Amino acid sequence: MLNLNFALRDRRVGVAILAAFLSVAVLAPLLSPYDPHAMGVPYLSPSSAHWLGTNDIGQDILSELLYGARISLFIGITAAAIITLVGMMVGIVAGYLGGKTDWILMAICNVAMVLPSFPLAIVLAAYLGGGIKSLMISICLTAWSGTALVVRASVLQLRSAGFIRTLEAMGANSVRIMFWHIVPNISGLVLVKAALAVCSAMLAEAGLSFLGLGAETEKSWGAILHYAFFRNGVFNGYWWWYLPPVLCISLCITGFMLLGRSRRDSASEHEVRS
Amino acid sequence: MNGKKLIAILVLLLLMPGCGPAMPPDAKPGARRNELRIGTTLPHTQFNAMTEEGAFGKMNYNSFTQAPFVETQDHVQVKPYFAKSWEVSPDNRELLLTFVDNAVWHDGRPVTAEDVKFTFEYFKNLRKSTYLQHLQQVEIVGADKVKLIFSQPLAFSALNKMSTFVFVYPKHIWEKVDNPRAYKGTDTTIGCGPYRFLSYDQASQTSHYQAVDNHFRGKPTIDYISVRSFATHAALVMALKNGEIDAVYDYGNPLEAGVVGVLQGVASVEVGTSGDPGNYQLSFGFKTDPSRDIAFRRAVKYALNYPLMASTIGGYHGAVAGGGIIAPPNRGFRADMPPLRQDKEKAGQLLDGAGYVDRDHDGFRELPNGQPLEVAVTIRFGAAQKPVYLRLFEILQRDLQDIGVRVRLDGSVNNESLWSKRTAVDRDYELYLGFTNAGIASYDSAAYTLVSVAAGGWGTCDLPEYEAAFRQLLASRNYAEYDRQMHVLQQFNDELVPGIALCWNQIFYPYRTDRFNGWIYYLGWGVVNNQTWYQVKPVEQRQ
Amino acid sequence: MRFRHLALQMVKYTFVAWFVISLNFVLSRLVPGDPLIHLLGEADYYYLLLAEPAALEALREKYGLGDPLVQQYGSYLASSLRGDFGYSYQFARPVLELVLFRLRWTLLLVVPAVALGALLGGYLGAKAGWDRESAVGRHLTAVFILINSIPPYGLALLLLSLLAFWLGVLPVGGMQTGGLTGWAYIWDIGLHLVLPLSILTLYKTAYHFLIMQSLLDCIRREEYVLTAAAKGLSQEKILWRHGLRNALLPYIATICMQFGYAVAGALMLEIVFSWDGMGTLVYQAVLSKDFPVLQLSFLVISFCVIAMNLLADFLYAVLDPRLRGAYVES
Repeated sequence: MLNLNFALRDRRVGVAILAAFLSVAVLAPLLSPYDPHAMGVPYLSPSSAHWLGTNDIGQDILSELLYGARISLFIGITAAAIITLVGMMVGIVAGYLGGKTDWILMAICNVAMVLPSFPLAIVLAAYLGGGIKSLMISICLTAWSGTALVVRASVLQLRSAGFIRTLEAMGANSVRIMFWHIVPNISGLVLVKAALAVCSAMLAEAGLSFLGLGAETEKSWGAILHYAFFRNGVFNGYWWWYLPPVLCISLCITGFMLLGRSRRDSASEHEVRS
Repeated sequence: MNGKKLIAILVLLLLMPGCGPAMPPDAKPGARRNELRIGTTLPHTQFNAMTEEGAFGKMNYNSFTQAPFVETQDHVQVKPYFAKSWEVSPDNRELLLTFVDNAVWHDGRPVTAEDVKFTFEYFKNLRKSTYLQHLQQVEIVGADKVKLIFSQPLAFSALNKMSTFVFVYPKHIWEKVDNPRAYKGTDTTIGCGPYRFLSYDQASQTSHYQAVDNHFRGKPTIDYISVRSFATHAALVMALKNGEIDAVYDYGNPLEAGVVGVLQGVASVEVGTSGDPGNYQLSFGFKTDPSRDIAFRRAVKYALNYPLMASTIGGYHGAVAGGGIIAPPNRGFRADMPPLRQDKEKAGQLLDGAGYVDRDHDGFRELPNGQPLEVAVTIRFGAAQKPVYLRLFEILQRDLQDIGVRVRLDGSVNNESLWSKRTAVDRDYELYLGFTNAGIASYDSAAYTLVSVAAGGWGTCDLPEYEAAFRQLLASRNYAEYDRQMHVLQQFNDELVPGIALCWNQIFYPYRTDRFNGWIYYLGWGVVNNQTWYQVKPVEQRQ
Repeated sequence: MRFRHLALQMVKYTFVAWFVISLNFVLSRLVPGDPLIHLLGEADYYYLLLAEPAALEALREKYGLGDPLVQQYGSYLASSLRGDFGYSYQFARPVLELVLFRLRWTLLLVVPAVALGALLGGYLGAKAGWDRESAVGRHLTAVFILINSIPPYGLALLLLSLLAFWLGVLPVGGMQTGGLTGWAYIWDIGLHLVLPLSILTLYKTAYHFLIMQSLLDCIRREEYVLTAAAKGLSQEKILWRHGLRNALLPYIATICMQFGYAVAGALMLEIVFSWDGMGTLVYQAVLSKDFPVLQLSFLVISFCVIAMNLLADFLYAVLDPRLRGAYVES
């Protein structure tokens, strides 16, 4: 019982954090004092005119940060959605169909799990160049495998519980109906995985952007850090430039992590709901 | 569970970084021997006298392990080095070099006229470099004399262009090698300069050199040199501040204002400010519209926010450039050209007058023939400066959008093959954000990067007056003619706008004065130069 | 019987290794542009293209780029098995030697970090996972979750600016100052190692803490724990004697399987601290498009990960046949 209380509280905190960030992302044009692309006097310290000072070409850092929420969240959530969907599909098909399909899919899945994802992302960045497309490919290429494995395990469990055979016996004919039944039962699991996928996607995007391998014209939080480091902001101690993006990334990821962690504790994986 | 134990562990974790002094007491290398420690961000990639790559290759621009025929000392005229004297024929097609007869290679063999002939034939046949264009024939006319014959009146400019960069190579090592770049032998570092290569320590990225006793110029004043590569300018500056290195040398990648702030007021450190002889620039493609249209180019010239460009490049030390594109430290610079200024109204008027009107009212102008107008900007490819170029692009995009011109970033920004093809082979860029480095600026000038290949340049501008002026520059027979032509070129640059300099920058080559003195500072080059080895001496130790 | 599973795993890993090698081949041939550029490097390729196109064609023949794709693939596999991975065109040295040199330094960073993190995180996690209601346990959990959400290079930047730039107590980057021997040499490396190692250790501690905690949380609910308590054993004894023993195998296996992530974390830190291991090598190679280096680096890292996974499988096969084939998902 005590566990549930903590889990609930964690989840509430997670939702609160994420609600804050999402509203900032959506309301960025209203909230930010300047156009993040407008240039002025560079390297200004925080003042009443610029609460977080300006960067190396005089753009207001606070505005960059607010708009950065959009890019970082967009890429993170979209990538996570792709990862989760693909993983779920693969897991369901493999677990349900079994046999050779299962074997092939699991072989692919195992390869994807073993391949080190971040070095792969860097190598792909070299071959594909930067940009949002290659960023998405790099992030999504191997990350779906974790979800796939877990979903497949769940499907196998449902199988062994006789749930599926019952439905088949009842005459449920097409595979699509199976999906209507299987998916709700694993939804709790999948949502947890989705939340964690956002964490890893955002970390990956921020990492690649920090290295300058992301979309160069987009102002994600990672990209702000990139300029802060490579344009000597860190060296000169301009903490108002590099500290806020780090804080934003950390808080946002904490939010998703709390979201993911709490659900797993409170929902039992052995439940079967029809 | 003991809270105390936990706290103890955490405290230990926190204290871990702070333990101990920054450097063990007598671990500073080179502190005892007569050793000059140079720092650079050039990576130690290759140790090959034939290529100009890496820290080794670029250090050789200082008459270091290799001996150039002539050298330039701080932008004044060329001075003898391996070539004792020379004669330019009246028709400017022949160059007679008389060289030193007692030079010895680092492996002990004497340097002969055969080596000299081999060197020039190599440049003519194999390397096809721009230092010695149009070299037709090489003749040995004496034990210490070689004559170079050119197919065009370029002898004087060849003398200047090869200064500092063209060294004499040992025939006995390289004559059997097909592809010098790929040659993996151990004697790739042999030269006849005042220092010989000793060793390279990969873990600390430091290469070591020793003075040659029997050098034809005499024994250098410093016994040992070490060159250390740092990953970033920040690390380099910190090393200088901490006394780990004595001076900075960074060809093509000078320290800029953002990193030298920490050196102000530090004891025994000179910040070493000077104007940058190179410059960032925006150049035009001339292959398609609108870059072919002078009205468009002039409009762009009035559209740019020069103070912002300058401060992006040089921080508080960046100054707005003049229209002549030649930077102040260079020979022949005209100080009477007014600084560039932004005048968006005038830019708009110029475009209106030339027919670039927004017919479909989408906020952006179209070409005079009604086709949509979108200009692709190519930026120079390179790791170190990419953030700067991307920032310059952002400013350019903003400024041009403000006068109604749509701009996009060329896809080659992420694809080096495409970029190389675009800038070196096809030359079909529309707008190009690039750079003239100190080496080119020293004789060829920034105009070289703008003028078409047909006229002897590396760019695309095919305007007849500009090409003619550049050809005349290269055909100068003496410095007076050169200076005159430079004046003309700058005038044309201002009027015809083949390219726009974005900043007169200040660059920094800091150095320490506590272990060595006698430093001679070359503008835009620093204290590590071809005179360092004979002028700089250890400070007398008082023990 | 237990080794049959191990053999199957080996087959799987060999497949992965083959896949990585082939992936390198595919990438280098499918990327737009002349594959000869990847073999010669930018500078040489364009020089030859402009100055000596005949020599360029001769090289194309020599590298067999005119051959059918299958044949090229065959010779590529053959040379890979021989250990010939080409020359780096940035450094003009054999890639294998370059990568192995750098690998040493990355391992110097990763192995102590993982070991320390596993010990520290394991100890703290065991305590926290066992006694779920303890305040310290909950606070530590919160702290470590927070740490896991800070990007490692973010923390690295902060500490770099604080300790190296501002306070100046630690070196700004690099691995050594050079020219030292003996104890001074070791001390020097140690100083350069402190920051990246501390940060990596912190992250590994956080990660392993959470792993151990959830492992013991599961175990705590098992029936034999209740039995032991009923027999009169103290909570401490149950934890260390029974609980931990059962958690140890999955824990060590997880450590091995997470090795890949440890390396990835180290890569970023190396770049921030200019530590000359695989991280900076890969980064430089990406920026200068030195493809031979990139390909081999990726291969080597994959091999390390595979080796560690194999170790985990081996441990399972040898130490606990009961759990063979079913890993505890954390």
